[in-house]
Amino acid sequence: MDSHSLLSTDDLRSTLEQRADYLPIDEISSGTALNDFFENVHRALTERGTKLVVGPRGCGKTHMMRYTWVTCRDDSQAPLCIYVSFNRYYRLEPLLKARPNAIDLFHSWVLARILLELIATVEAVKTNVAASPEELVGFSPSALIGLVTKLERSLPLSAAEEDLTRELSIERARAIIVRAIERFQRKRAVLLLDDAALTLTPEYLYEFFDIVRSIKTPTISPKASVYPGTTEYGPRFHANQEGEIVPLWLAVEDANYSSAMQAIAEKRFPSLHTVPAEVNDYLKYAAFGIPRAYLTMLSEFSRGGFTTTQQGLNRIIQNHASARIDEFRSLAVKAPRFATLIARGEEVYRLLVRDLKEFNDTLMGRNEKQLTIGISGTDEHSMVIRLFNLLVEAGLLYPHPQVSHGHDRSYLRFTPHLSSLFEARAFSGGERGSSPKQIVEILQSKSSKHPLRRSVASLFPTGQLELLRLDMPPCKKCGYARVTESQRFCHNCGSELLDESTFTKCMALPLTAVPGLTEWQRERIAAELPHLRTIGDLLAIQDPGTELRKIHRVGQRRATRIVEVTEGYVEEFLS
Amino acid sequence: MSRGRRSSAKITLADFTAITALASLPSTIDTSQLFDPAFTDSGTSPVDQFLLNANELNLLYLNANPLGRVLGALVFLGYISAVESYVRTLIRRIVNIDEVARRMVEAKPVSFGAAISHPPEVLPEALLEGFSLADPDNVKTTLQKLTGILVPATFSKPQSEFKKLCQVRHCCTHRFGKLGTNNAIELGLKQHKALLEKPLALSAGQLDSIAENLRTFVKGLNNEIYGALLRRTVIQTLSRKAPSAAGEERPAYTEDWTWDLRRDRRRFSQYYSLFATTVDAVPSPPAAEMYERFRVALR
Repeated sequence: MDSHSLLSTDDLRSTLEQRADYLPIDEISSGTALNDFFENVHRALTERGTKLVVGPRGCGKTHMMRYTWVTCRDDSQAPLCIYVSFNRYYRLEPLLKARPNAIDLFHSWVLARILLELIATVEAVKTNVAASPEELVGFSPSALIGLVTKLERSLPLSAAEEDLTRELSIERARAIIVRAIERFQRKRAVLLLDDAALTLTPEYLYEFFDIVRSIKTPTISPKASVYPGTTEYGPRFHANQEGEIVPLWLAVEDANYSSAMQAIAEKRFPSLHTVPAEVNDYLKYAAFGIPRAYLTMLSEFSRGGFTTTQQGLNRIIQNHASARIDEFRSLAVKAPRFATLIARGEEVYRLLVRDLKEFNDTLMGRNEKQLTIGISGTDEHSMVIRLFNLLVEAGLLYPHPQVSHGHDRSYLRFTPHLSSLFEARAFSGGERGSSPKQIVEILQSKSSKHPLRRSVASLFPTGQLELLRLDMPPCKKCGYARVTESQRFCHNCGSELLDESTFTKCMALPLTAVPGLTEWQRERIAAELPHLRTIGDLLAIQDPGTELRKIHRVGQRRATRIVEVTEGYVEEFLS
Repeated sequence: MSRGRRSSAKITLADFTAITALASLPSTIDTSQLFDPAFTDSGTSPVDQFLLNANELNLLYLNANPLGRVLGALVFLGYISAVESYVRTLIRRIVNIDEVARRMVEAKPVSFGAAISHPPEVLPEALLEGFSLADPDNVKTTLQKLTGILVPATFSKPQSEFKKLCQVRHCCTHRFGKLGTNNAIELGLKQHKALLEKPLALSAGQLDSIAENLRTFVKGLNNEIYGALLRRTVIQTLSRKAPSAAGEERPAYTEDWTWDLRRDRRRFSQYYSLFATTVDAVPSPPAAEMYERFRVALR
């Protein structure tokens, strides 16, 4: 497996810097820009009812949730907000292959995490109500922490911890939350359940949304953040009936797009004034509605290192566009069953970008542009829909609401990532110059009346549709290919078709392949700590920092950095 | 009239009980010829024996299209039998290697015939005579009586699944697959009363699910008992002298772990090879890695 292709060093480092879960809470509180769009999301996060906040990585889900948490903490009129991140869910993935009661353990883990964050919230709320967390929650915080830690480290539970898993029930959790509402004289409570996409473990995803469905009461409103493109939340949770979908991916064609992005940069990027206005506008669009990407590109531009602005921008756009494609490809490493759909998806994506570029070339001089492509005839091809959903999940295609032009004429409509369109010079054709300013002007012109249209038949020439399939690995014992997707045993040798856990695979990657580490760090680790061969070797140590400090010239800061980068990589890999 | 009837009556000498025609016993079966004397399983762990058996059963039905009702029921019976065989082999071999289990069964009687004819490593098998293991409650009590291992409560879900399937097994063993009253009561009369005296008709997909559940039951039980045994070797040692709550003296291990693989290797590998699989699609991690996990968790 070529792990280098997942993320480049620079990409990983700057991504970490812009991630909301790495920002101190005070910066979240003061560094949040609210215009109508984000204000609506914020309102959805505080009002009653179940909400699914939907957007690709980096669009601000964590940021908005943490912002909502901090504003509600300080406002006695607001609901009691509990923020819980489930980004460590993948640490429980190995349990699925080791314990028959993995789903029950996951259930306990979710509830224990909610209660622990309730305790943290109670301690953070500025109030004169004296309440010991233990008395309020009825469970000892250290017992809950012990349980969570053991589950995340796949360690066996003690008898007391097993008892604890049985005592943790949804009814009990609801009662505790209600008690906290009363104690703090709030009207109701909101559960901000972050990183709930759980993409690697559908088994846990289904259980998770069953908890979301059951924990909801008129006074407890769960909000979950998920990726776009996911349509299946399990047999008992129907996204549109149980809750409301709240998009948190600002469309580049939204009337307030530019001002919303501007407000974010003003709050979060102190040297914005040094960036020329036309460059700033251009990068806003290139970020394609993703604030994290926008801020990263702004800081790249500010770092300089190019001779002309045009050259600098080209490089930033190219890097960004190819990083997005790399991220899409990395899905195939994490979930090999999608390898064919991803390889074919990339080709289709490039086709859409090329067709839109050619279409925009024909609009030259008419003061019009077209960013949307409509695709018909997808209804009866579930694999094609899956392929597009993967492109949407990776943030390469922005999905517009589906429109129907009468019977049998429904279209899926998408806008490809603008960095790809920029890279393809979609708005620079012919005599039109390609200065950032001119491109932004074209983007702000009106759209041509109808979107560009393609049909499944034209995108997938004869014979290609049949090749779209999930890549189920052959039998590990005898190598015999599978006959059907849902098959559970090998038809040749009778063995169960089992696969190793993805987490285990990630842990087995060599430590020297972590992209964020410097050449020097890699060399020194290999030379001085030869027993730390894999990522798992390092992270399994109780105090990895101390171990790393055994290397000559590695002190506290370097050791912490190495651990952070490794953990960050694992999180990116498994999120 | 009466004269005519008399004249048409035939006189036959045939046996009035011969309502079916049959072949007279062709030969008597010499049961001693029925078993494979060359077979040995000493090198294969109980879980691997189960998996090999289960894989063979799979091949019987996976390529049968359509899957007939009778074949489905027979494969199902075979699966339950494979589970039962796993539990027997496991218990026998635990008694062979585990000091505490061995002392727990010291006072248990075995038949004289077994005592004079079984080689020592098979003798514990005689302890299991009279125990039916096609029921999770029996598995639980037998394990507790003969090895002192308690199946944890967290294992209740796979157990209740197994229990349901054992009820279905009764129908196959005794009634050619038809649902009997007692089985229906055990399975829930409300949902099953309309199915009384109806035969078991498994689809290939249902058999897949059953096979998967039974594998999970066996592998889950395998992991649980492995964990419980190893935990016991750490906690219940002479050096720790931990009497049970009731205060009575429990047998304890005389040997302690040194937590140095070189010195613990021989003892650890006995437990490891009793529970490890090389047959499964994802084989057990190597012994050294499992020892390291054990050391980190329980030292």
